Amino acid sequence: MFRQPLSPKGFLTLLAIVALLSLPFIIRHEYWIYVLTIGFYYAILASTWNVMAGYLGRVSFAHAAFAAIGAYASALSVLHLKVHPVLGMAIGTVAGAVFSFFIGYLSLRLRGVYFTLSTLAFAEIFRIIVTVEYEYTRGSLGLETEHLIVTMSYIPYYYVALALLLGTVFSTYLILNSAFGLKIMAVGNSEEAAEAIGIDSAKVKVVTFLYVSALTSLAGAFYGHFIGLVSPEVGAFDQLALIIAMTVVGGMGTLPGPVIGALLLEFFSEYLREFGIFRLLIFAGLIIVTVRFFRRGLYGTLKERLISVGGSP
Amino acid sequence: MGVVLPIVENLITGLIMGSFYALMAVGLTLIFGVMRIVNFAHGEFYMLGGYILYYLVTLLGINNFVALPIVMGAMFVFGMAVERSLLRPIITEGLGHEYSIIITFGLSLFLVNFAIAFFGPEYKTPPPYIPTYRIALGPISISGDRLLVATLAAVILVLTYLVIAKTKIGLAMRATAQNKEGAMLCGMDVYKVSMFTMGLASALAGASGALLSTILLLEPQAGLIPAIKSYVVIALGGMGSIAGAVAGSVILGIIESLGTVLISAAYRDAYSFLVLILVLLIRPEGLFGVRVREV
Amino acid sequence: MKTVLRAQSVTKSFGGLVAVRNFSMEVGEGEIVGLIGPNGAGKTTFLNVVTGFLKPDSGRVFFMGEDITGLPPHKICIKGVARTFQLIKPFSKMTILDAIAAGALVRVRSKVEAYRRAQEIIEFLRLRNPERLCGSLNVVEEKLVELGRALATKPKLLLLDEIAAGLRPSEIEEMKKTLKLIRDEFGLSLVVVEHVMPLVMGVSDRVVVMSSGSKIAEGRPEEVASNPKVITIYLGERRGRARG
Repeated sequence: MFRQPLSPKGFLTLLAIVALLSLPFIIRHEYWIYVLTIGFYYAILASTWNVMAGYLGRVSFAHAAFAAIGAYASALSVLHLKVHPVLGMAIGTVAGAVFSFFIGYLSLRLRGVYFTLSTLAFAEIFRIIVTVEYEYTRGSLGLETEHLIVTMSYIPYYYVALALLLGTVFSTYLILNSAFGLKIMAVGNSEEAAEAIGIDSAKVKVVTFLYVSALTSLAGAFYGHFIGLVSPEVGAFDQLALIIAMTVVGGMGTLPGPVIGALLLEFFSEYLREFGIFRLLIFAGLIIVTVRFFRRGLYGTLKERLISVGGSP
Repeated sequence: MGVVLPIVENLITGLIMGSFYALMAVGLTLIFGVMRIVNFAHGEFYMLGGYILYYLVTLLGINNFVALPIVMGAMFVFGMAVERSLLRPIITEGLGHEYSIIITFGLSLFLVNFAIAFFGPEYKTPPPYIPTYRIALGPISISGDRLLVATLAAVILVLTYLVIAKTKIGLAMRATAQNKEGAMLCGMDVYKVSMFTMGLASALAGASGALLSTILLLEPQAGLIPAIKSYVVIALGGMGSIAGAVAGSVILGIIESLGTVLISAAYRDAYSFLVLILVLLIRPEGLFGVRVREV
Repeated sequence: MKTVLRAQSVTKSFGGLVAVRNFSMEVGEGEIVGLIGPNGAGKTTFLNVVTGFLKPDSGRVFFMGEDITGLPPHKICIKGVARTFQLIKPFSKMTILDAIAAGALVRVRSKVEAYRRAQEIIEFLRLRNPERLCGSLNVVEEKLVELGRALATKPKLLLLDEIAAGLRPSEIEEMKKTLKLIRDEFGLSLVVVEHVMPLVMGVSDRVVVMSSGSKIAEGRPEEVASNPKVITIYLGERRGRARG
């Protein structure tokens, strides 16, 4: 199998990985390393959100909230249990998994939009708790937490974030190309038809949501120990909006789409910083226009064009 | 004795709040019934209604009572435009839940940030319909202006009910809600029905904003909490059920008000979510819903 | 003949409307049973009860002698009952191969094995270019994929809900042959819920007629076709349609 000549897709993937690995040697500017690291964080969140929305056909509004759960669980355990941030990140991951199982079990048994409504409610209740329980969370001021690595440079973080991203994309690739991946897509296309061919759709949905949320919480925990501060902002709707815009613009239902979208919009977002209030307005416009007119997003549309130019089926 | 009075007062407050939730929730449940989608921009329709009223009254000096129907008319047209431009592919291309959720979410985000950019992020206080005064009923005192605004909400609800129950388009809406293919076969214009439904729901949410924002404050994100509550209400009442939406609103209004006195005021906005969780656990089809698997 | 399916006095109502009323029927091993009746007779509701998509108000459903009443749809499929849908539910964003392989996963764990089985079914149904997306097919192909997906689950009983609706007469002839071939090759029993008379009459060993939720006639196709009660409801429907 490995003796086969590399497919164009495989070649491009390899090229992208090599490029990302060598970037810190090319870009000497710490600021852009920082921006890229944040970009990787968003790319993880967009990739996992995409598994739900793009493959399983279920929209979660609690995605940013799960990043915040990971971040708070990790920060609080580092603070109170005096554990190393790495262990904290593991605890954050488990916390995300536990909460997602609870929400998923409650709402994914049901059809239609109950799941989305439940995630919206959960995200909001989480925000309220974090803000009200000031003594534990420092409310909207944010909770200071230890850094993952003691260093003056962003480069170590860059590689940790890249490793997390590659891990996420690779494990997602494996899952989607497994027998379970076929089941995910079957449920995403038609839940009833999936059940009619013997697929336990509730189980598929709950397991997928658990996988996605655990990874999201891990990313959130990392983010907390990267910035050194965990605030309700991590789980805010603005963040969710960004994640959705990135996925949709890059190409929902494709594997590279969300990664491309996240890196692109993160850079775009840095440029837009001076426009301040118009930033989210532009992102919202992007979501609407892409979903309405270019449903496959950037990657999907590009791929379609290339194929039609190449003439192969 | 010391607890009873606040409870009665809060019970009345709960009923008043319930009538506003109902304005939002009835529109939401109509959209769900006819189009099978949840409108995640519903809170922003509320917010826009509030701002239109605010500018009509403060800039043009129009009386609140005159401005209210103008708000509803404007929001009706707006709702129809949203259906025509953004939601139409749901019917023509048979797109799934993801599309409707993401596009209405995008719209919600757009409207909130539009409001921040052009109306400003600060709180606005639209002038009240009538000056604040309190009505004393023996030892109980309730807010008279709130009562009036709630009465207006109730009147609008009754009018809406008449439209749905007595008019031709109302009949078409009910028929489409029951069976879309059947309604199409009978020669009903599903496009027109969907457009009208969005218009009506948008007008109702706008009215809710135009009424409630004179009591609460108005800001670009003012619609979020009322919207989330109306989602809980339609889950509680049964998606697509109008009676359920009204009953659910009243129940939620009362639960919140009692929770505020009996448990904690800080978590006032969280009670609705506990209600949602209970509904999902105990009776997922809602109080008035029928458990139907769509096959 | 061994009984594969036995439905006993099944009743199902929605609100005040009784869709299926005290309805019983049996299907023997290797038998093709046609289930016909005018629109709204309760055929699809009955099928949904058998396949677990609806729970009956009363009555029981036995499959191979085992009570399967109220089991969830996927468990009923695991037992060996497969179905197609009246309003077809294609896996639009999946390829033909993926869609049919997804059906095979209920019997085999490995994806490779699932693809091998899917390939066999694709050849049997003579579907071309299985790498095409299910959302891009014509009506006949859509129906065949739906059929293939169900066959991939290796059912002992296959319930087809209006598989011939929307097909042209020549295509119906083809479908007739395919159904008989399926019975013989796969050794399963079929329930053909149908509105299209030529198909049911040509393919069924036995026909059950439903009207207003109840069974009004049962027998060999030619017996049923000449049954005055059946003629009345069908003529009545045709008149009703002409008026509407």
